[in-house]
Amino acid sequence: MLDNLSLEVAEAEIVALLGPSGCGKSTLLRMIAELLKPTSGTIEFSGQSAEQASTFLSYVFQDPTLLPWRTVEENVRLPLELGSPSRMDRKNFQTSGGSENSDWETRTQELLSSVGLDAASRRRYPRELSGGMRMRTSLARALVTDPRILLLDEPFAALDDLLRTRLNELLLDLWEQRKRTIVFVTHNIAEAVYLSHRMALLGNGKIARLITNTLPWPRTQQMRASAEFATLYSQVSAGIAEVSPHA
Amino acid sequence: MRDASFAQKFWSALLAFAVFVALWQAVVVIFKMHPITLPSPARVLRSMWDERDALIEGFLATGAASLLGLLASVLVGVVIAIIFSQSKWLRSAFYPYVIFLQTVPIVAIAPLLITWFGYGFKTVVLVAAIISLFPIVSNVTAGLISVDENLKDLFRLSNATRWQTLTKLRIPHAVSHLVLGLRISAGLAVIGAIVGEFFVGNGSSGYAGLGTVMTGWQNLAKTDAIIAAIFVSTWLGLLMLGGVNLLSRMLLWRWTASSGFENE
Repeated sequence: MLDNLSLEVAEAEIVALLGPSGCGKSTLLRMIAELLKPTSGTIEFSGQSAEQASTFLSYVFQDPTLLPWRTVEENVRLPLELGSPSRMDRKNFQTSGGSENSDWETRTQELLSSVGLDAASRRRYPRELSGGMRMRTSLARALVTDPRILLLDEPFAALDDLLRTRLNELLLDLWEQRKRTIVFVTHNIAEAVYLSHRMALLGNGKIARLITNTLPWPRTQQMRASAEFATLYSQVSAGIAEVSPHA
Repeated sequence: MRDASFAQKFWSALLAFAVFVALWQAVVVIFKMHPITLPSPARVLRSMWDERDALIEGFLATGAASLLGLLASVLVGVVIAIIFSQSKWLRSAFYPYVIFLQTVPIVAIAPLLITWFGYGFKTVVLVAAIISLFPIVSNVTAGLISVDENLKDLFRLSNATRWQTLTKLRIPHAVSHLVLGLRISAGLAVIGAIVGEFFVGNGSSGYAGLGTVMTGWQNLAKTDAIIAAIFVSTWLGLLMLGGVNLLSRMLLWRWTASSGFENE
């Protein structure tokens, strides 16, 4: 499906993957996450192979993918509970004193606050939450291990426009605080333009075009109405039309 | 709202029963049925009172046997399912033999069980366990392996160990499937116990379950008492099912609003 594809992403960069349905955006993302193995070629993280680096990587699915029998906070702390003890060799967790549990508890609570989930909703079960709150939980869970790279596969596709805009802001806030590398797949051109440093358009199994986003940082809601935004939007839109098979 | 619909269900069930009893009485009167062929509802009721000691004892014995049989099938069934969930190879190698349990007529192996375990409680429990094992194994296995792909990916990405994936993902996911299996098996365990008792018979063992007393009454042509015992077995089955429903509500309250479509 993907062939002769090369993409380099810098540290703390946000890259959007766009393209027609079935062009392999999600496949590429799953390969980066090592959920799929490329038949040939390599994926490296600052010179390390994916296997060595997988600790530093988090993945957000299109569905919130929460465990229904766990409360919001129990869901968020799940990644901390998983993995063999050797993996948790404090690379990501430099703690000064305090037990492991209280450290986890602090991290979980911090993240829940930063994604905007209040004390009352933290003890709820996923079925009692709205779609937006579930996605916030999913984001908090992805960040709880403090990954260096965050991969998102159409994370906001199932949400309405208002919620999508709010969660776009949230993602930017989280990025401003942590400056992590983010690679995300989206079908929404406006979202791609608003959130990214660069946009990679996939077609025929390759990166058909790589567009550098000229919008200044930090991003603000007003930019969505700017001329520059409109130009980028039509540039991306035309690019996708070019690589799309004729419908 | 909920209470109203509960009352409605209760009254309609009662009404259906009343109609059934009326029809039964009518058949007895119109066709002038002999009490040995078909006794009247009143006669059955009287016999239920007269034989109350035997019926209560039978109820308790059969109840204990079905409950123990069900418990055994859950313990064994869950262990088998967990083993199955760990390898496709194990599943394809041994699942056919579990299906064998489902297809072999229990009636055919009962004499063998009697030879091995004697005319008594043990054999009855065993028949109940064997007959109720299959739904537990098949449902729990399905629950353990039918976990959402994304959730499995999430665990893989977090470098979860096999044990963690089992205890934190597969087993909790299978709980609702276990309850589903229990619903089927609860009724089967009662059937199994009574069938087992038919084979054990009311011999010298001193065991007196509903099935054994029924065999005795059949020899004495006490049809009214047999019908009374049938009612008591039905209540036992309903009680078991009610217990399972209660259990399912306790287990599943976290992630389901209701415990199923028939939770009356």
